[in-house]
Amino acid sequence: MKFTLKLLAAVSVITMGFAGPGAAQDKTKLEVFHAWAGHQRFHKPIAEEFMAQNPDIEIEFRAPGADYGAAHLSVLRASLADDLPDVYYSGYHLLPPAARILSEREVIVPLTDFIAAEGDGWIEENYAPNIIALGAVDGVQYAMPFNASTPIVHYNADLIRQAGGDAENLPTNWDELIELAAKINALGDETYGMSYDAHNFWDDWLFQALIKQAGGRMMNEDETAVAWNNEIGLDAMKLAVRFVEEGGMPLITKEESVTLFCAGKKGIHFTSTASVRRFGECSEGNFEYVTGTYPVTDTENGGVPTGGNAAMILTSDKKKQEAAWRFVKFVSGPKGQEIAVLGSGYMPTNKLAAGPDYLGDHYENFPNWTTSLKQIERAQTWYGYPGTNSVKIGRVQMEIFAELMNGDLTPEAALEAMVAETEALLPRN
Amino acid sequence: MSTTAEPFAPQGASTESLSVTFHRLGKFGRLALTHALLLSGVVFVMLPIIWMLLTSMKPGNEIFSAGLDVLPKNPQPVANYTYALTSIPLMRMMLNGAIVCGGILIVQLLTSIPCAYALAKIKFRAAPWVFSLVLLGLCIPIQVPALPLYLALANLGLLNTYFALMLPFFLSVFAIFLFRQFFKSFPDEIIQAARVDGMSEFEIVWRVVTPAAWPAIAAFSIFSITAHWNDLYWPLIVISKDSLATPPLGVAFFFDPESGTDFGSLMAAATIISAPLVIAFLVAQRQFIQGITMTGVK
Amino acid sequence: MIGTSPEGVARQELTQARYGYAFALPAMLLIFGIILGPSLVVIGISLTDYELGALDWRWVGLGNYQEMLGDRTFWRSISNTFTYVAILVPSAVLLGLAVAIMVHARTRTKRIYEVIYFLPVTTTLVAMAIVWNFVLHSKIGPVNAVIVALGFEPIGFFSDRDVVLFSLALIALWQLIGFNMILFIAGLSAIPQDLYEAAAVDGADGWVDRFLRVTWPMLGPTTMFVVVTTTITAFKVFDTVAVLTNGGPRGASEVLLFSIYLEGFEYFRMGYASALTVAFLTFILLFSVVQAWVIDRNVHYR
Repeated sequence: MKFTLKLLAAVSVITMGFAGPGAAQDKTKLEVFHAWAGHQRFHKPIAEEFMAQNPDIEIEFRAPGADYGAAHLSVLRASLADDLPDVYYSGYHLLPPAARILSEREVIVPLTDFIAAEGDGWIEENYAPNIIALGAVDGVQYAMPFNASTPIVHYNADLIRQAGGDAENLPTNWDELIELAAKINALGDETYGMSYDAHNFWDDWLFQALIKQAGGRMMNEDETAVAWNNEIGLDAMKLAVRFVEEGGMPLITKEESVTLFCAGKKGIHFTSTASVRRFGECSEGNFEYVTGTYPVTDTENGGVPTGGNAAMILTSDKKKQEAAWRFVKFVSGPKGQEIAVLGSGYMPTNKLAAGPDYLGDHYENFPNWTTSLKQIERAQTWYGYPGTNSVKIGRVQMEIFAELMNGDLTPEAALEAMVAETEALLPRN
Repeated sequence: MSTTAEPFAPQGASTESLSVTFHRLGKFGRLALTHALLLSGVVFVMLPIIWMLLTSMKPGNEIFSAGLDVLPKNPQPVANYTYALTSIPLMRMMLNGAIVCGGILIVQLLTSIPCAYALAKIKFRAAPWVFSLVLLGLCIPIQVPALPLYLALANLGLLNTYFALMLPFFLSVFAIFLFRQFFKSFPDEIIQAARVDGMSEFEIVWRVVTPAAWPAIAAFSIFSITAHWNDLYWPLIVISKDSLATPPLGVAFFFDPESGTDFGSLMAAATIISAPLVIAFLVAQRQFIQGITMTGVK
Repeated sequence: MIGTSPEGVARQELTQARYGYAFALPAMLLIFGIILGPSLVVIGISLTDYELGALDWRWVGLGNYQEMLGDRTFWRSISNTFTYVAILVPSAVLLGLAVAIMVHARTRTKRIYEVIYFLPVTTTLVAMAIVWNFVLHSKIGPVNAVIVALGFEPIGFFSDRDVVLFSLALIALWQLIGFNMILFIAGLSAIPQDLYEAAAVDGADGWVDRFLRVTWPMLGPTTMFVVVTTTITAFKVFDTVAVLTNGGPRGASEVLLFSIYLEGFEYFRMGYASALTVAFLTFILLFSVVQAWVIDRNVHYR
């Protein structure tokens, strides 16, 4: 039955293609695919709003990928089977491999012409230059940034006060932050000062933050050697050791770390701004939860890496491409971003979304949500190493980082090992 | 029904003295010891399940409290369970799950029982080879043949069908192996008697041997159903339509480590989708008892 | 104790053999079609540098295997896998058998014990991962609360390198006890009652005697089955590692299937992941063939 229906649908689409527009079927159907089942919470309302405004287009979601990696694999598999979705949200760190492979197969649609057709100044009006750059690969705009998040600092204000700190004026540099963590840690056996889970995160996001906040970059200009085999890298190592030795960071898994913060047993927790919704919920009635910007050593050039995902178009059908662009424009537009932000805690990728017509009121009422906006101009790309070993490099680095934090390696030895292991995984020319 | 079978089976060497000590305990003492051991196991088994049930009744801010303070203060079971049932088509997912599990199980039994019988009771030259292949098949996790299978289904235009959900599991090598082990202890003289009576091998399989294997069939059915009911890997590969989603996709809906998992609803959904399996088990339990009477008769 | 089979007529045996082939045929077709055939593709890919979706790839011969032998994470994951198997298999088989025998001997409470021990098998991993994370939390979990109350140091179930494999085995054990219990109970149910009576007539008294003379030999085929499947299940450990420890701390729980997953699904190196898969299958197959052979020799089918 289902199969027959699908066949009929396929046949009707084909015949419609021959008959041209004006055939009986007038709705363009778009299949949309994203990662994280929990993200349906905002993807579905956005699609409903879009369909209400564009009755000629119908949005249908594919069952979401379990995470960014699973979604990436699923799209690559679908490209082999000629069964691609029309619109796909790729994690930023997987955008370069996805765009390269899919453009080699000539299935990804560069957005250059669509953007040009929107007229001069449209990009500038809607997107900050550093944000729109998140969707570009090898100089071509392949995707529109949808969700964006930077690391921020999550605080337990009750513990800050108990430790004699000032919850109104949060630390602005690392020394202040570690000092505060030490005080909180001294409150008792059951309380922990802070955690910076760079040693067992999903990837190298938090490590990149330590380099970028000091104004460093991950690789040199011509991408032949790592650019943190210097004071910046060494400072990052020393900082990590201080988190443990002075700040009282427990060496536990990242999930345990989150749970510990939710249970009100930890003063300072570093993670994405996307967690404000979750922490707001788990802290409710238990402790006062506040957020602060990520401390930067180099206030001039220091930055933070950006996580999240961007929407790309993967259909060869001209009519669908047209419809897909309208959809992608909408989701990365102010209304789409308003819904996405409220459903998560991500920061908006569209400049207009933060304005009074959209998120202005919400930001006024929930100041914890604005922290990421305060550091939006610091948002940099989440660097992907050349070659195909980017993810593996992140994992190898994390293991060395864990040995460093555990006290098995000195900062100097850890830096040396990290440089050597990273460069061994870079392509050899 | 099983009063003569004695409880407790240590694997130690000094069984003799253990046996003596055990005897001295007396009937009541032995019973008490057995129950004490079983109950300590029950605590281990139930702890996570109780935590799951309690969480399914908690609001978001009560999930993580330190130590042994685990009871919900402001229980909201209705809100969590209603949300789990209304925000996603959980009932539809369970229906899909039932169709898929049922289809898989029927084909598995039809293909594995004859093969297992052939391996256990019929002499044919290829038998050792067949058994080796079965062992090999048992070792290969679904992740290995997944990509070629996906491409084949895509080429046939069969993605997003119940058939695609079932295909990789139509043969259970686990079942062949399990039934082979059971059929081996089936008395040969009964089979010979049936042959003398003029029954064909086909009739012997389905009318003589299979009815005696009810405990094994019941046990296998339980495992087959629980495995495919809770499988998240394969459905995510071949299904992209909500209307064909299976139950674990419903639980995954509430899971979002990035921006916050809805723990209460997730545990509620998990509890709801476990319920049919518990019921299936209760049904299978009867088959165990039936099996005992069957084999006890002869 | 079963008499020798009657004189078989040659023709009868020939007919039987034909049935043997006919009965095995559908299963064999399916084994080749959905398991072995597609898996052969994997061996082919292991000789290439293929990346999923890429258009160009080259044959690299045994290059992937060479890389594998020099890869320290490969050797580490092998040692982790074997340690895990060594912890889990004996405990899951023996405890499953012990629980089955104790539960099987109950009359009024039998069904309720069966249901309780079976409950873990019905649970779904996404939910249980969250539960275990909290129940075994190294700082605020209820299990550690009890451990501390008893005067011991809290245990870092997922953060202590020496403990993490035991923690993962404990979680697997939680499900496997019920799983193996069902198999053993099915085996016990199939033992005819009159064998115990016959043994009693022969002078077997006491539960040890009866266990050794009737239960254990009669349970032989079931035990072999449980040992082999538990071993394979243990080798296939992956889900709990992926959701609970991500291979950590510092690779202490990185097992073979998880390495394959990392290479193929996170690093997208299908060629190398396929080589690891071939190695994995070789190990697990060798292990189960040897095991099946040893046990089949020692188990006498009456």
